[in-house]
Amino acid sequence: MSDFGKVSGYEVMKYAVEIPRESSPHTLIITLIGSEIRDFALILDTNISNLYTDLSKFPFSSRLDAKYCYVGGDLTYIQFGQRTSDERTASTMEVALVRWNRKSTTPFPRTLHCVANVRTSVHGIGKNFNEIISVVAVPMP
Amino acid sequence: MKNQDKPLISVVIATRNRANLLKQSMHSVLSQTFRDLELIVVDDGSSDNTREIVESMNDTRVTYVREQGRGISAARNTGADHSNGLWTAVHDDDDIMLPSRLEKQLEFANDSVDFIYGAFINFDDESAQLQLHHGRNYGYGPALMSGFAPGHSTWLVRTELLRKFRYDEGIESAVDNNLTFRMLRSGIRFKHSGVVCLLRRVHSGRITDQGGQGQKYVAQMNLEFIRRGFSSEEIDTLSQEARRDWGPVDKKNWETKFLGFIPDHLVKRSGYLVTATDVDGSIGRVKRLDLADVGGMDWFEFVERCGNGANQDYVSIRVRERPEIESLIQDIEIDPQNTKKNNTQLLTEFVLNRMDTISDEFFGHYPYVALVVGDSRIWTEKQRSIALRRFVSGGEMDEVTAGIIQFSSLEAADGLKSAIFEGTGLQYRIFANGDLASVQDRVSNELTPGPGNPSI
Repeated sequence: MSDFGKVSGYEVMKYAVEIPRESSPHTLIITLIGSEIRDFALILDTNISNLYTDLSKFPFSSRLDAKYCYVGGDLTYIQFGQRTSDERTASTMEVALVRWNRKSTTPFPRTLHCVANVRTSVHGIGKNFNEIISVVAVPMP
Repeated sequence: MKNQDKPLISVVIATRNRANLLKQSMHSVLSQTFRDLELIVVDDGSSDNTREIVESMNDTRVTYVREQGRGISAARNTGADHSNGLWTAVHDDDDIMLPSRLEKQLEFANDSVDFIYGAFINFDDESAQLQLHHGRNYGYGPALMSGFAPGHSTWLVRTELLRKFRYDEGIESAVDNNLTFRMLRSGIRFKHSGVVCLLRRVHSGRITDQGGQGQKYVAQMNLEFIRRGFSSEEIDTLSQEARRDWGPVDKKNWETKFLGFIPDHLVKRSGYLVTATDVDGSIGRVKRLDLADVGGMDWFEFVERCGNGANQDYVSIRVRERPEIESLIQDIEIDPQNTKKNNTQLLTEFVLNRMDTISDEFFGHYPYVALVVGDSRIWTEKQRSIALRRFVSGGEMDEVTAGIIQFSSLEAADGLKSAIFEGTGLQYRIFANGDLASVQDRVSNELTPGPGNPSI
């Protein structure tokens, strides 16, 4: 965790996804109006990257043991894959956006949105609605 | 031990040397949603601590009657003789009466009915296996066909008729068939209520299993009695008609609906019971909830709370595994949701469940709602007045309020959070109506500038 988000030579913005007890994150929606499809990359916290194997497609750095996927275009959808809330390990999940294309001038988004499944009862996942979690940028030291 | 006023229903249990099972049986009767009853326990010469068990129930509705071991039929007749109720409900000392049985059966009590009965569920006292016996609409057809009679412990009969017809004290088994056949012959009016009345314990010490050849003989005699005067053609015709004439039992989810009332050694319960009342507050109506975590509750408390009107829709039950497996997993929470929950968690789960069950009522024409939950003391009047539907639970010091706010756009839902809820200690969560794909589309449209965007 100590190296997370501190990628030398790149601009980075860290975001914290506060996951309520009954929710299981499904899709992260990142809005970057006017950007190119590879202007940014998303990195997961190393502690959870193994859990979300659908997302973690490419090794980012063997030293950091983190993985990434490209982010850009007006809207990017990143699916966390079908996970039950039982498999969730943290109440706060951290992700980092890295400016991949150094020529890009698109500002980092203030907020990301995460659509999450909701466990509505002991009987299981709700059918009629989903949760939208606003994902806020974490001030960098 | 008795009320001065006559109750509407007398429940009669005849017992002998079943002290270990009697307590549960009596508790299930005394926890009925219908309260105006007396419970008469006729002890047919027990040598165990039956009397102590009965007296330990400490309920003024209970009457203990001691007999000298004259047999089950005589004991039941003694029970009828002691009954003060207009109606008598039969119950056995090893069975579990379901909480709303009497209330629901009474709905059928009117001048055109003498004998109300219903369905029952057998449960295996070792494996928890269930079997529903829904019973037939009673009349000559089913009686002639196979000697069928309504399930004994489901009976709710006019007391005067039981006293008049009486159980035949000369026989020890199939006494219920014998009695109903005589009643049928006399024109007594039967009515299948469709109510699932009880959980009938299947175990090695059952009286039904002890009859042997004697029971078969009595059953044969009963059948011959009811068939007397009918030609074989008439028996065939009436039997044919009765073949598919089942009682009107609602079988939907019957297994899960009643599994929770099976004793603790067979099932494990999780989730919570809910008792809800509407309360008028200074700014509108509030639903006050009593949320009780069933994880640490034993069978007696569970049954009592259900009898007091608690809703068990939020309870989940599983049948226990073999002891060697159960002992290994008992300290491990397979489902983290089953860990002990605080008031805020219970209330959140309750509201989420309601939102999912009756989503139209919560969302109305609005695509988004915010659910705000937190300590009642930190809610401001302004915040309360914005939340249109509110729920409260807990006591004075740990009371929690949940409120629902509807929105037309995600931007507004996010905006209100920043305006008056951020940093207040209240949980503020946004939900979007619809399935995952439609929610994703709607959110995407709102996040991308263009015509049709409701936030523009």
